[in-house]
Amino acid sequence: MINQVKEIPIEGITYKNLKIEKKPLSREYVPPPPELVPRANRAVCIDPGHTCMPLGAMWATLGVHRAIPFVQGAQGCTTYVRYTFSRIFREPATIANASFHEDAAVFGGRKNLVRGVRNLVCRYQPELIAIVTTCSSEVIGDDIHSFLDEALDLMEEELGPEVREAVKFVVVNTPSFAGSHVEGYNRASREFLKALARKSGETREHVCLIPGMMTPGDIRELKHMMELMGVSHRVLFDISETLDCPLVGMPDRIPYYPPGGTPVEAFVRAGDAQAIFALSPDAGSAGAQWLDRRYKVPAYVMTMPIGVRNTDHFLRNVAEATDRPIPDRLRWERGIFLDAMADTLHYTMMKKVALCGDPDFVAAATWFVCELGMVPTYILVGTKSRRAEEDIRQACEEYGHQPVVMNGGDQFEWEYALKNDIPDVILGHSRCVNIAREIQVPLVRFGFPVYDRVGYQREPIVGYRGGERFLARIVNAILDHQYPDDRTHQ
Amino acid sequence: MSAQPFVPFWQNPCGLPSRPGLGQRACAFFGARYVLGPVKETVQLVHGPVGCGYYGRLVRMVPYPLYTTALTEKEVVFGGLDHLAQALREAFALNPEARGAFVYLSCVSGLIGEDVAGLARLFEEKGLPVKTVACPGFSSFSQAGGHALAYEVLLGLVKPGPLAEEPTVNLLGEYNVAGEARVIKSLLEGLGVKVHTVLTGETSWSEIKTLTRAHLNLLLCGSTAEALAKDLKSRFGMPFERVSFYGPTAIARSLKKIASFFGFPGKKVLARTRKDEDKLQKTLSSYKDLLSGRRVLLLLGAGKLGPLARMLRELGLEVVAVGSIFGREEDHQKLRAYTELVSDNPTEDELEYLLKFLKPDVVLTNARDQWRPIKLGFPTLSFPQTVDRGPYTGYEGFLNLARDLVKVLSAPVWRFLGP
Amino acid sequence: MDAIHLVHAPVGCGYYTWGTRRHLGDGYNWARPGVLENEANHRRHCYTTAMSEEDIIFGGTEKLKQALLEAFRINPGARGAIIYNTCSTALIGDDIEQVAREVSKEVGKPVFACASPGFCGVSQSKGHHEFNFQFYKWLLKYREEHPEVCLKEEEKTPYDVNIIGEYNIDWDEVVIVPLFEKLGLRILNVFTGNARLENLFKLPDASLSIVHCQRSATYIAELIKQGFKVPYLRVSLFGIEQTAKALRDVAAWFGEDKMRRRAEEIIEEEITAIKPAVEWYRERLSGKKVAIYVGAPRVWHWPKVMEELGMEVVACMTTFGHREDYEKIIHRVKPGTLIIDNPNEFEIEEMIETCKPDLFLTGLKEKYLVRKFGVPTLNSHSYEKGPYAGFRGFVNFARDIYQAVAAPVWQLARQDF
Repeated sequence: MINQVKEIPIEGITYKNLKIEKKPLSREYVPPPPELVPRANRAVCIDPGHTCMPLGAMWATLGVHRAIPFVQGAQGCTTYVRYTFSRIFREPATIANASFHEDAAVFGGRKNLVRGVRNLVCRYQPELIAIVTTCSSEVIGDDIHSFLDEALDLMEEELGPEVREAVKFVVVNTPSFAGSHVEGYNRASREFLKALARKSGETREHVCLIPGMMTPGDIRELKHMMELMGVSHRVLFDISETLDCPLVGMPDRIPYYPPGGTPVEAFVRAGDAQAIFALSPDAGSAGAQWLDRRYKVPAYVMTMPIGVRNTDHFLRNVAEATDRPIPDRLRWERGIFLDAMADTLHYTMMKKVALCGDPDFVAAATWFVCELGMVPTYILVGTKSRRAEEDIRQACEEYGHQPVVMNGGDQFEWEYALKNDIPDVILGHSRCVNIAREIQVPLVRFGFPVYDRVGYQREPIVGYRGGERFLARIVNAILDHQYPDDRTHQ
Repeated sequence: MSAQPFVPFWQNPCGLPSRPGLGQRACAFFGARYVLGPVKETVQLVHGPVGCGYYGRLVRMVPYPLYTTALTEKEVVFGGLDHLAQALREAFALNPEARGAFVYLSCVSGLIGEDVAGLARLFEEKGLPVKTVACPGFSSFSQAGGHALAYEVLLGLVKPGPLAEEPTVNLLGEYNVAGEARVIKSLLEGLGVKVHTVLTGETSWSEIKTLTRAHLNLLLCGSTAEALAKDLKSRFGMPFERVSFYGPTAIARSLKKIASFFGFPGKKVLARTRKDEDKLQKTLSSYKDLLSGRRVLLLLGAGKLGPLARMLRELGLEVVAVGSIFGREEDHQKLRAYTELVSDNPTEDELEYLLKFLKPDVVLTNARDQWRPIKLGFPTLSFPQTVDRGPYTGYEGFLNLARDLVKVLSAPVWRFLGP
Repeated sequence: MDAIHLVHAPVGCGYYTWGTRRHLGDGYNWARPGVLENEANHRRHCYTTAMSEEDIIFGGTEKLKQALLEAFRINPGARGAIIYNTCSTALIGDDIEQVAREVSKEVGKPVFACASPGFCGVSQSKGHHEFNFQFYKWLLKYREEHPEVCLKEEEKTPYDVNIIGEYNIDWDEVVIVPLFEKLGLRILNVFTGNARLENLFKLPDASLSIVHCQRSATYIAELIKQGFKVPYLRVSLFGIEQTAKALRDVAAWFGEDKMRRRAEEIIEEEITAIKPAVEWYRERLSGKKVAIYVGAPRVWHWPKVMEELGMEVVACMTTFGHREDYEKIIHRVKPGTLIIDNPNEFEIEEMIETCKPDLFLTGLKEKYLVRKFGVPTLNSHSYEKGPYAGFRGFVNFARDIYQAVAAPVWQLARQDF
């Protein structure tokens, strides 16, 4: 006990000398009843692999320049998401809330929205407000569009007609119970384009990219590849300039807005684009396909460019859509990536790997681990996705593996499988730390969410350079964990 | 298979000095460290500038303690013997368990003519045995000279003594890569034969002194330890047998040889090896489909080439060319049974030409040369293997080799090559 | 801590509350034979009904009941369960209390149903309030139905106390509990940090409640006082002076000279141990300006602490402070200090501009904002490297404040090329 420590140095009580005895709650390990292990047999969801829809819509909105999500729901719906973003990005995230109290539950959220939007416009002068609904507003049955009309009328009276031009509104319906955060992003991608995109008639040479829930580092890597291709491009929902910004000191103008983000103008011009790429099929394809249907902008929906095959595929499609050759610089990067794969194959070949995460990430990473000669064993697709399952099946067929795919399962089910068939390495997110520790297997963090280590949001895993970094992360985890230090010399 | 192209340059004879500017050989100090590095109960010190000590720590990718005098300009000009004496005293003080010391000469200490041997005598008089390894880097064509020097030093330690009661052997030229000594020991234990010491993969100063306890020396690596085996025979009357535990055929033959030396019934040995072999073939069959007919290029030191070529043939691979780094004529003669293309100390451009002409399916080479064939897109297996890959000797080792070959050959990365 | 916490809601509500804040505990379940889980029971797993569209339309009580029964089978170490409803399940009118009663009967373990829809009340403070009342009500009922859970008459001592409103953030308990134990007290309960259900049933059997967080938990202390005549004492356990006062107050309440002397001895001993360290920090932190924005009670717990480090409080803000919190704050800070209730980001930015604090004590959501402006922060909800309470924890607190303020990065940020 600490109180026995006689001298207390200025370091205080460090975690090292704070020793807490773990007390077991039961005498011994009792395995769960086998019939309750598969998620499909259970009513209770234990350790969900995804969260609810509004988060995805807020994520997308925060990638837009001077845009604020306005959450039509209780305060927790905002607070929790802000916590989540803060943990992942270590950045401020401005999210407004309708502050539902009991009266809203009884009388509906009209007053909250009308007043909330007005306050936001007056004090924050945003360029765009995305109204994100929640389970409560959907259950109450709030008619957001008529509320919004009313709010606009009132503001016009009070602030003059220019307010209608100055602030754009997008409504994203995200009832939490109807899908996961991935679907929330997907819906936002469609609603933003629906509300804003126009076709001017004049053709412009540029392509649009919807990255999905990639990290700022990934998005920068996408831009890097597009620059090498010499393709004029616009990343829609570009969080690389809003959720990863420099420390600036007190700005001249407050409130603080991140300097970057996709301008509203980019959404308007999306109707004139040469092509639109949805690089996360489950988070963004809805937007791309809508644009294709409405304005005949060819939509390319493809697996996230993780690994050689997927990046090749992406670049070939960009080349096709824009009629540009793939430059030598990219061939060079590809060669380096291949070289790194060849150099490390002894560490990766035949290693058993378990994967866990959002469908887009997991499907693409399954391709990648197959390319590394690893053997995927248990794959948890956090949100049920037919597309991801098909992708995984295709990859495993090509490379001759038969993993167990838990499509839309919860982590409890996946963890139980891992306990009984321990892999060599886990590719997952921060929620997989516990199982990794318990079965003493290295965890390579990727995807959503990574909040317990720093810098991951800046390091890309897409593209050839990102793939090389991802590979290094995987190999180093294996080296740290499975190789005695005197055997890591070459 | 395709007709062998005409490759005149790939037939360099053995034993020639290196061609300046070309080649991949190392120095005598490297060879001496290769042999002496793992010897326990010793203080090892290199009398030279800091680099020799810095690089010399690592032997076959495993670090073994090595002290250095880290000579500076001053000592090179005015002599570094005092410095060396001081360093030795300190090293002994730091290692009270050491029974003796090896002092390696480097190019510098060799050139400035330090009387290390004289200093060693002074120490010896004080009861601190110090052996000088006169291996200045320039003193031989390749590391092979260093190997020989090192074994001469070890020979000097050996004292006559009584024989052991049970059948006992020494392993000569076995370097215990990735736990190979363990595998060999267990094979011999199956016969009822004990191993006194393993030169030099698992040995110590005191075990070397009592080397003569064993009835028989088993010579595993001909190119490094043959001279020692012969000397031990002539000086102490210890017989020796050439054996190998690489591949099932060699294992069976070697075990038979040993059994007959000790007068054990051959039938028992036969039954055992049959059983192990059957077990091996069962697991092996799935690998063999992938391996048979694959063409392999070998580029390694010397001693391991023969056994490896044999193992590869047993696995159904075809050896299309072999390069040694410090081969001897005997090595080359054996290798010519596999291919006409046998060369010593090939240069890197020669290797590249060969890869271009022969297009082997897989390349086996050492750790520092592996990246060139990999860069050119050839699946490559490197030696000495890391510990996680496991030993290549014995039955399990044979399986390990097959598995590793399958690994490099079937790695998906090669699919992405090409235009 | 040893209960199953099951959130009856769409998936997000359970997901976000899963093992996030650092209220730690020492009760662990087994992960595998011989291997304990990596996190304490109440943080390791997240149990939720993950309501789907269909469940919302047709009602979720059936699902909840089944889910809870399954959870008990999967987690046999659990001593009971707490089930929560949220916005949507409250709106559709699922009767979670009925489920709690049924399941409790079926498995023979206590199940507490906590009604906590998100739209209820103006802030999370309403949730604290509700929990206190509902829990107390349920507690009484359960004690009545199961008298065996009460502390037996013969086991009672006059020195049984509860510590109420202490949530064991980053193991604050490790420094707090021994202080009181050394006084000769027996700690029946810590409400609710690292708490065990069986102990919580004995809440009314103590002779005194010591209330630390006086916003979220005074309610239950008050209820116990009304129902069982167990008085309570408000204390502050941050900083030297306040912790010493707490010990003295408790000893004085018991009125025994021996205990008073003991209290003085403990204070003396503890202060001697930490003094050099505190002096070291005080010397370096004197004169710095600090702004505080936390839940509520800490905002008035801490001005004294800052003074002990020679720092000046220039602004105080709370998320869910009530009238009496503000009275206390005003009482404890200098005139002229800026005080804001539930500030938004805009107001925080204005505060930074006008007050120019050298340090901002705040939570996770705001700290990244002010950091962008070059203002050092300290995570004051979950701490940076706790514990912060008591005497020994005070050194940690001072250390982390110093580390925040003294980091060279702020200097570098002010320099231009």
